[in-house]
Amino acid sequence: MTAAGPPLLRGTGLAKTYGNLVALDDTDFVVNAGEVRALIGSNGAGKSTLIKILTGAVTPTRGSVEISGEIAPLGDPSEMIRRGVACIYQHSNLAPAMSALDNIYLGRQPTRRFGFVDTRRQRLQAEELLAHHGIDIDLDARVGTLSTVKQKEVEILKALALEARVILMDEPTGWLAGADVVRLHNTIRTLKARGVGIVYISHVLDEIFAVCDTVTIMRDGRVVAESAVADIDRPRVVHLMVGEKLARESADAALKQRRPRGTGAVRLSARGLGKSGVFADVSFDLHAGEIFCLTGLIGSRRTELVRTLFGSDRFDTGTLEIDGRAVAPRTPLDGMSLGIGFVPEDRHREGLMLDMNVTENLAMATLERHCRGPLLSRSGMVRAGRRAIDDLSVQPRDGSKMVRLLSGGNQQKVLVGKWLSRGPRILILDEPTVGVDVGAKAEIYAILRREREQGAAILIVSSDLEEVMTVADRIGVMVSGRLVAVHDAGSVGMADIVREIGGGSA
Amino acid sequence: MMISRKDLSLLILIIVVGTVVAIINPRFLSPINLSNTANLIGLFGIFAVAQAFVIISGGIELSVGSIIALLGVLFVDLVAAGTLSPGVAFLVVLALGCLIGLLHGFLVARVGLQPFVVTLCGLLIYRGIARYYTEDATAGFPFGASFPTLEWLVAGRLYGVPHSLIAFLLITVVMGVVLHRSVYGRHLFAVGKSEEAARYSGINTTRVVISAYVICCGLTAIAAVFIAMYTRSISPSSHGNFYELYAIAAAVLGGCSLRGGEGSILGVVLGTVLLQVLQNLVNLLGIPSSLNFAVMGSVILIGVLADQQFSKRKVR
Ligand SMILES: Nc1ncnc2c1ncn2[C@@H]1O[C@H](COP(=O)(O)OP(=O)(O)OP(=O)(O)O)[C@@H](O)[C@H]1O
Ligand SMILES: [Mg+2]
Repeated sequence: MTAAGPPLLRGTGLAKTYGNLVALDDTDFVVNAGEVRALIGSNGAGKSTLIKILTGAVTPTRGSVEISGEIAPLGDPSEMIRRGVACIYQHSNLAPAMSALDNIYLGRQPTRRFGFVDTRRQRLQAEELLAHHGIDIDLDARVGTLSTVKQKEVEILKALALEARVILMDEPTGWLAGADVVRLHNTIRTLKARGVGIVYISHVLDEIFAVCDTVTIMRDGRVVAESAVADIDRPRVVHLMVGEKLARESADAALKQRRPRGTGAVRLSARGLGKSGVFADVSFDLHAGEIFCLTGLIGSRRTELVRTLFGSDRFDTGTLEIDGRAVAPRTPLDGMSLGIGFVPEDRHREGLMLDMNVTENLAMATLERHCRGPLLSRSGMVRAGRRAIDDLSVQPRDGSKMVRLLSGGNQQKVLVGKWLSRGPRILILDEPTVGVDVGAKAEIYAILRREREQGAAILIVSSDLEEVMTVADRIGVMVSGRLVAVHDAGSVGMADIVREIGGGSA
Repeated sequence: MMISRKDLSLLILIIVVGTVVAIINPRFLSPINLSNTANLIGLFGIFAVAQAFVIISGGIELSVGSIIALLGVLFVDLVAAGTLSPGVAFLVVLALGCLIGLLHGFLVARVGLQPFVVTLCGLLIYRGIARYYTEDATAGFPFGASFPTLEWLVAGRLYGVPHSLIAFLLITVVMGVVLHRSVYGRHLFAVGKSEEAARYSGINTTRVVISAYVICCGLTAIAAVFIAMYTRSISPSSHGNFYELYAIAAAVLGGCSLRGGEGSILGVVLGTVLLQVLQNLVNLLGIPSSLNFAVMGSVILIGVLADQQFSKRKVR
């Protein structure tokens, strides 16, 4: 697409350093009207840093930003919003207790005399926006009750209400399931047709090929390639992203490594598990030495189910046996003493201490191992931490870095590492590779397989079908709180699973 | 233990303030003044360290002053009337302190009330009980009564070093190890930083929070005995007034965050020292003592501001 005149957004020579860490190095970046530009690169490549510079959240060390040919002030978020740059962050910035309408106009409601909110004008404007962009949302619904994809749409509307001409999306599909991703992509196409410029960050390459026009690939803080999506193919993209360290995965190799039902010994056995109003009548066995994937739509209650296995929630009907003994874990501590490890979905709230460093986080679930008498051995912690950092290739390789300052994908690696270091006999992971780049995903899969070889029973909740087809020995499909099918991964195709996931609604 | 940059700057500040005061008024360095200041540091330090445990857990303990009044009155009364021997009376008071902590911890961690509310009610309740118990009269030892061993133990001096300071240092070392070198200490920081994430790491957060209050109130009980023997007569309506604020101020000066999960024992010790040196400064430099609180408040504000500027620059 050729744009007349200056591009909508142009960054020139942008650089950002933190101490002696170069997060972004001399980067040029252009977005035109009506263009959907993919921004991809491995964890810590500097994508979020670039986005934050464009929104004004971070002040660059060097460089300049122009909007429609005009130099924009740097490090001033409200000014960037005024000039039409909006951002949708991975973690929602909405007020869950307020209605969609109020959220869209939060902070700048149209007012009548005496500062009363002009609700009628507000509603009219919002409805106009909805109609104009072909988005369908119940304006009166409380945002907290909306599905994740609708919440994203509310954020997009919020951006549009600001008359945003550029919308930056940092991993917008992180926690969205298949059908919702399609829905979001349709919204993006409508926006594009209206001349909005979009920047789209994602680690899921299929999405790039589905919705983007152009792609910018970053590595180690630099742009290593720019191309039209039509002129590039998947292997080339992966190669550019991870460099020489090639992704080790190939579908054939994965197939050969499958081991349905592992060693045959049943580690965990659920019979008729239920929690009223949430899930019902779930029965399955988890064997030592296998990887069992639970897939389904967001909201199919997989998270709720596995939480009861670990003890962070309780089931109210049915029986749970671990190693042949009936149990009912009531707290995470119970789950852990039964030999269960649990990587929760929400890494910021439940998974990590953002204000502690990497080493401390990695040791958090294994502190009692680092004791000499009643005292903690720091050196032991540091040694174990260094090993985990190497195993998972956490970037930067610095155990004393605060977890808050790591890139999203690297935070996820630390969370996985924290539980792997316990060497649990049963490991439950809830969406373990959200936000993790292709190279590191392969590393995490390799590590999970290694745990499996050593006899661990592994249960993964995942909405990423590609992931499910790659790592699973067996696949369970959940629909609306019921486990509707269990397959050996070798004897079922992706298309069958997709059909089953849709369940009654398909 | 490594000394952090924050603690180091506090130490330098103390030295600077001390030097200035010593130059203006050499009496600052006289043995009597030093020994008195050391005694006060010991007395206030014990319950400041205690407060730090609760603050690091993410809570706050406002009833310190009232606990000091109530337990002090009780101790003096039990000993003076000869009901119990000083040793047993001390154990009774210590047990009561722990019990109060248990109650506060239970209400906060199990029942889910806010620490500010629970301990504010504590502040009012214990003060009230203390006054009712003595019928608002001053509690003290009858004329001529003396308990030489007890007095030597808690108010004596060793080579001029007050025993209160020695007790404080012992407690500090033990608590420093607990906080910075034990698994329990890690758990306490973790709970303060993010209770949810701590729970998911298999930490029994309820127990950790309750124990923080037990430690706090138990140590405060020890401080109460020392302070009672220092003042010797206790008027229950004013004894220990505002002491909780001294403790919180020392902890905050020493780098504890009221949001929880941050702080060091060394910092709290230095914070206590700085506060007492400032008190001393007010006295020695002839500043009207009515300005006492104003000076303290200003210094804390400046300290916190300076610290924030520092850490901001580091993030940029
Ligand atoms: N405030 C900060 N202080 C220090 N280092 C930082 C800070 N913010 C980011 N970094 C570092 O800058 C680098 C780039 O981070 P950035 O978040 O831009 O990566 P990313 O490409 O978005 O990765 P991901 O795909 O994992 O989200 C990382 O190494 C990160 O640790
Ligand atoms: Mg990122």
